[in-house]
Amino acid sequence: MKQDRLGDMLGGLLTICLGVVFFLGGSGLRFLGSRGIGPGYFPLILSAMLIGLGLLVILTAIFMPRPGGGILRADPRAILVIFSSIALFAGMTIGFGLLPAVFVTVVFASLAAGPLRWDAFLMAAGVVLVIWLVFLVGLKVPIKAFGVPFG
Amino acid sequence: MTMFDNLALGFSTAFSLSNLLYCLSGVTVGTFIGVLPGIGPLAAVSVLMPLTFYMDPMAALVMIAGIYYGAEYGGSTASILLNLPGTAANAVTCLDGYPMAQQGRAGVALFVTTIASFAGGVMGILILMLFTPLIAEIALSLQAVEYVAIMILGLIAAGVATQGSPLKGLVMIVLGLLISTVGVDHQSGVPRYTMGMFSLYDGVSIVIVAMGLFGVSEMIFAISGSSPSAAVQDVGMRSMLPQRDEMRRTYKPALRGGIIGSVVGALPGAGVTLAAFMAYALEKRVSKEPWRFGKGAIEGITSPETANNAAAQTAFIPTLSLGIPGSPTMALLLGAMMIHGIAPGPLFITEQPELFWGLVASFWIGNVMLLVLNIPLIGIWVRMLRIPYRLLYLGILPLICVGVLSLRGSFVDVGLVMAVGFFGCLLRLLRFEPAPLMISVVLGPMLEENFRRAMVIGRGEISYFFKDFTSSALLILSGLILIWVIVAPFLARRRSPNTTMAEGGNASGE
Repeated sequence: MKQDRLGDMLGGLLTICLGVVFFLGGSGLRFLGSRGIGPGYFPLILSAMLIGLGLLVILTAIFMPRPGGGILRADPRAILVIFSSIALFAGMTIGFGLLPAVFVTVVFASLAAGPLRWDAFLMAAGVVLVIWLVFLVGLKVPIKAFGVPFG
Repeated sequence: MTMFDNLALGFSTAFSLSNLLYCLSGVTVGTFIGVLPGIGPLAAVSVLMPLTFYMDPMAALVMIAGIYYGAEYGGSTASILLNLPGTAANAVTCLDGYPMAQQGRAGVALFVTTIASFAGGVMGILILMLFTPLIAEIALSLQAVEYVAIMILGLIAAGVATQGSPLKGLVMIVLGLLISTVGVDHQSGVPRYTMGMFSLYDGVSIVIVAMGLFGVSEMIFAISGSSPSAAVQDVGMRSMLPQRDEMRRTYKPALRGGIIGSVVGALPGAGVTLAAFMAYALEKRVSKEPWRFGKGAIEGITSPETANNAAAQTAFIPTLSLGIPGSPTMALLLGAMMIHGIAPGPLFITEQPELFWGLVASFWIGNVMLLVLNIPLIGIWVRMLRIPYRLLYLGILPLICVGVLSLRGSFVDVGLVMAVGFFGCLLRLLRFEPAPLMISVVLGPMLEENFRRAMVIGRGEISYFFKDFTSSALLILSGLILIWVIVAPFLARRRSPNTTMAEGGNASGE
């Protein structure tokens, strides 16, 4: 494993950004209250700690790069397809009901790992059956199986 | 009441048909996800959390717990047959389990790890039964300052003990605490970080955080890294029986592993993986023939497998006696309790004895079920290993989608899961291990409440935390760990300017 500091450097930067965002977002809260500390005390102290930790991560990456400090690879195709299929699920459920949505989502999501194959349809049918049995029959979750939900 | 009366009460609750069924489904799901590399107990519990809201509290706890300890049984199967750990805690089992399989002794290895798992489970449960009520009783007299100090130490330990950079683990802890402050502040009624959205007034749901971080983002990285399914050899019952010599070699390692696992598992934040690694390291050290390790030594699989199962059981000790989660999955268990309106903490055992002892009884029942699932039925699980991840995630994704929607029928929640999932991907890309965040999200409100109470009693003086012996000792220990984490990388550089493999190393086997 080779030493790589990019992941740690960017990670530290992200940490500092989060710290600053939380600090600014919480700056309107009162630091001290009438009795003891106020609602702002805990968030502001934590934001400051986040900024400090971010600096430490960067400093350590500069002076002491470690093995495994690089960026982890992810397949952009997987990221794109999975997030689109969750959005697709939401849209389909509003339009056509839960079970059709699940079927289409499963078939579409199979594209994340490669080209469309026949077993995705088989899998989708099986998943629809399980979801129907567990959520609608078993747990009686109030979502419409077909048609407009909550209607 | 004596312990036997309590246990009898527990068994009378646990032996209802529905609870037995939930126990069986918990341990079966646990074994299943344990067997399959690519999905672990944390992800599985995250994805199945919404189901538990529709169950009664007893059933919910029994099932989540079953998944958790069941996974440690199944986890060794892939380690032995494929050299791929089923869960992180089984990585060390690869070292001697896979060589055993190559020598044609896979059946023996699978048999021995199951028996070791059962022995570990039994030891863990016995210690749990003895110590949980005891610790809860002591905890009743704890002051707010002491509680704060215990939580700080637990959080720091959880952040530091993760795989990869300890500093980044601490970042996750602090970030989780900040996420827990989102919503209306209970003491002042002031909304914090809600950005004007009413759906955030109740805070960020831990289910949504868990699903996004451990469901969606973990799935994406598992798809990216998945390989086509491997060839797996069949294992029959007949090949499983070990020789007398092999049995003789396993008693002492199992005992040592069980003790290490029970102790390590009970420490908040340390967890099953650390327990397995420590047990293996100890076994190698005390062995008279250390050269056999890594080449199929039966002690090398017995000890860590006993340890991780013992640890999986004793992780319930801090969780149920103090309300401080022993691992990220235990944090989800606490979350499920809170959603059912049960306050975790030292009063839990005395206020809900049938729930606590029922859960303990279900551990006994579940471990016996696991013994049956993993020895006579091992062939089924071995065949499960042929399921490619390409099909597996297609079953997980709809569970996430439908699960989120079933929370309160809100499409905003679906959007939130996507947002958290995206953030989780970013974290993983930059090599953050998000698991500790779950602990601090759950513990955050309790930490802030006790911190504020302590500050009121101490009239706003931070020095009040050092006036009490217990809390000052714990805080000093926390401080020392922090200093060590910051200084250690620089010390390592001075010792060896070029080789840094010693630090961080490759403990996870990734």
